[in-house]
Amino acid sequence: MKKTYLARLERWARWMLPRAEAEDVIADYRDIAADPEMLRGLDKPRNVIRPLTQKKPYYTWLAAFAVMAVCILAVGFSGTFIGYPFWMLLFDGGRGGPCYVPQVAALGAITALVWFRLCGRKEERLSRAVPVLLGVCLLCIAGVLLFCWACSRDFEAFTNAWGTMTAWIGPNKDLPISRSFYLPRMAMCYGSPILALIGAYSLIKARMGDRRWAAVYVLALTAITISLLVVYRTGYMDVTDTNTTVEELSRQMLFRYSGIAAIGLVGTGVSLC
Amino acid sequence: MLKKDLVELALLHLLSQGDQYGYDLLRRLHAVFPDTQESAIYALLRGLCRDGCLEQYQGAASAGPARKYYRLTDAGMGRYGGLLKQWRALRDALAELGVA
Repeated sequence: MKKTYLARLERWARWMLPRAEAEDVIADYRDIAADPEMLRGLDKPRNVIRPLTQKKPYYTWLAAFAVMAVCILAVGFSGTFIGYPFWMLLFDGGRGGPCYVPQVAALGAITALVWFRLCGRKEERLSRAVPVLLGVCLLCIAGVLLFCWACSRDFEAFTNAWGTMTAWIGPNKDLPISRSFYLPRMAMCYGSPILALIGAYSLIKARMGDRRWAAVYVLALTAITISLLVVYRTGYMDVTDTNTTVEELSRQMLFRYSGIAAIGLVGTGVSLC
Repeated sequence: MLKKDLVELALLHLLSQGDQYGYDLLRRLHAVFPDTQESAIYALLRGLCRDGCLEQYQGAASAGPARKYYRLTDAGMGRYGGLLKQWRALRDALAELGVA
């Protein structure tokens, strides 16, 4: 009972109170809950924490959390809603219209870096889930860049190889090009929401526990950003244009998005320090 | 004078007699005001800390984790004096009406 009570109290305290205040309250309640008689009469954890909550710092945190969560969820899910009126404001994939994915992602990443650097708490031991999730994000980034690299080498060879690899799906009714782009694009579009949910979860973990969870958020955001930029660029790539080859366009993508990945990795490193 | 002020007065009075361990303060006050939730008393304690009436420090511990103690500051002494004055005025007014 004591452990459960304290665990719930810690969660409420770390969510609603500034770091130093939360630590003080948790330390006090550890002492109080050590007395079985007092423990029986203790108020619900939420009722203990609520009167201690100061509006200004709590609402500032909620606002920062809303910005970070909206940034990653809006960007992450934008690829699955291509063509829907609302999402076109953010991402007009496949039409050559405006794309605000990098700007929104940058806002989320900068907010996370600043917030958790100033207000976060570093625990002695890093959770094992952090390197695992960072590895998943890195794999996604590597996959996207590999796709750009494969297209930039010899697009026809890549298309043929891809056609052979995906022959089990059935005969290709359209141009081979459409399949070679279609499947990776779908993987990027529908992988992004999963990364977005991982990123949103890591925000909660960074607030409640170790601030280094913010590194997962930053890297997930980076992976989503470059995935969707590739989806966006390949959506209106004119492969019949003889002036610019697919290889040339893919090289441009590889160069630009490697830069974004490098910035994301620096941000991840800063979050981990 | 509200009940909250009376609890606050009692809390400041206990601390005016010497530094107190947080848990002891809560236990003693909860014994005197059993119908007041410990969370309400604790919120008062933290509120007084935030207002600068109290300060906390880690006490030396021979065994186990260091205990956190609370002590009254000059601002806290001033607040205690003000509440005590209010309480005496209220007590005198009630005595004048014959309230035992």
